[in-house]
Amino acid sequence: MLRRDKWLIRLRWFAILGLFFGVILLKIVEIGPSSSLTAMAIVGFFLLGMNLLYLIYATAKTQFGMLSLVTLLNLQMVVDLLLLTILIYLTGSEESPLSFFYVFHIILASIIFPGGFSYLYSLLVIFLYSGLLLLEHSIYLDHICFFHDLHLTDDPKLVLMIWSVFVVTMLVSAYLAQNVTERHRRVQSKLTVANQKLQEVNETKTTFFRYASHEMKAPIATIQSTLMVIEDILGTKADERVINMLNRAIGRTSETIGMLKDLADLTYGNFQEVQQFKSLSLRDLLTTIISDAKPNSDRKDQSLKFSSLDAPFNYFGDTDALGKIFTNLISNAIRYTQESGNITISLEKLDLNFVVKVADDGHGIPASEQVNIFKEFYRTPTARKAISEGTGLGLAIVMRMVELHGGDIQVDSQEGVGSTFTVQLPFEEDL
Amino acid sequence: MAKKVMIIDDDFDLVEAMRITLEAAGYDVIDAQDGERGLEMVKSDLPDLIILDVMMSSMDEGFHVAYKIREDATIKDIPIVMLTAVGNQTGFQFDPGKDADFLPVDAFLEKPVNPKKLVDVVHQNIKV
Repeated sequence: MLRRDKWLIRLRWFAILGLFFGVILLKIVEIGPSSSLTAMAIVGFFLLGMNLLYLIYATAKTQFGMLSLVTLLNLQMVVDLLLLTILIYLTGSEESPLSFFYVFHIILASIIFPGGFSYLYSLLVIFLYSGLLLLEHSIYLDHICFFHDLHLTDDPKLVLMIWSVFVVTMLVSAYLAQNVTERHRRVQSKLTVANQKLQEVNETKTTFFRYASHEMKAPIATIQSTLMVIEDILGTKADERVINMLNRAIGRTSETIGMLKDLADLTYGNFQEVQQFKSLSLRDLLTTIISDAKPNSDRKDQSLKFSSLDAPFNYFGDTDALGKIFTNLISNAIRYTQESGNITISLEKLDLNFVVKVADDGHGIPASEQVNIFKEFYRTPTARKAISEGTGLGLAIVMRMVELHGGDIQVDSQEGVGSTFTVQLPFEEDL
Repeated sequence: MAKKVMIIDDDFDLVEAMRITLEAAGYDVIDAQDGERGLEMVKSDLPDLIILDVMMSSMDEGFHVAYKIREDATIKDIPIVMLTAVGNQTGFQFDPGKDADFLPVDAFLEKPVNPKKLVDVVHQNIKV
């Protein structure tokens, strides 16, 4: 409702601008008595003042009760209609084309208020317009002849016809506007319900992932422990083929455990009870992760460098989730970069974002595959060719964890040249 | 006399795998399937080291057992090696250096249990 109030205020600025523009134009082309034009300008200034008041009120008092906001909106609409009626009087009543503008208010009422408000407004409009015509044909109000040669008031039949068409136009407008907006509201509420259901299904899915992966991890870990004991006991006594078979089996259980762990990680953002946001140093976190990854890059004779200013880069985040982001990106860089390649990690502050870049001069990702890399279970054909193992969940996890921090991740990559992953983590100024 | 290692874990197969490794390394192994029984056996059998699983009937049963062991003067000096699941499926992440202040255990061992690591950890923590 408050949004609609502000929208109405914005629309009114345009109406005021249009009114002043109209008055000036009429003055230039010399249509209408100057007393009318002056009065119209006064109405314009009055509306300007009122709109300023509405704006101040809407900005200052943001905590509206529902009732008071509806009252305020109704008040604004009624004042607008009264002023429009005055403008119609000033421009010749039944001769005035401004009466078309009543239709806008009926449409606005149907958009702003639920229920049958547009009918109420159409009745109010008919009442105001009929009242104006009646007053003019009585002794209380003189008719203003706005257009020199137009004297519609002289012919009562014509006036009656204009009035009838006016009444029908207003009622039909109310019906049409009401019908369309009600249908829109119904569709919207159906969408809200459907959306809620989708969210529930998604929650069920993630809960299933979490518990299934948790329940399956324990027995597989035991199987692996057992296999390792058997391998340990057999040592060199067994046939080489048996030992190889055992090693492959151990490798397969490791892969499965890794995949289950990834599945559990993917659901991390959905379970607030496990999230622990606290103040931490991004620089320290990255330093630790990079030193943990160093043995892997050393094995491939790669250079793994970290550049950042000598500041802590204090950030309010979840250590585990941030750890997953950078561990995944750095281990990917190591995996998909050839021997003796270069990997550079940088940390900097840009406006209200901490920006972490993980750049490598590895295989790169073809442009056609870049759109898919953050999808769950997706592995690019290039990645598949380079390294056979992998669940295709790593970057989906990274994306989820970045979103958890309200951040953004982008990839810039060229096949055969390398890839740069840029993570932006927004922070509040006062931290 | 061989040193006595007590394993408190509800996963029978894992207990057996660890038992074979530890017995091959020259240790006596006793075990219990739950925290309550484990605590009783620790008091009666006085092992030289305890291997304790974190998650048994509840998510943190192992922690409670560890606290109870540390509260009892007769058994509080027995070293405890805590078995933890892979990664942070519980939302906890363990770090002996960082968490030693509030987790009364001497070492952590991650599942799946590597036999060489198991023997190393037991060897390092058992009091000679």
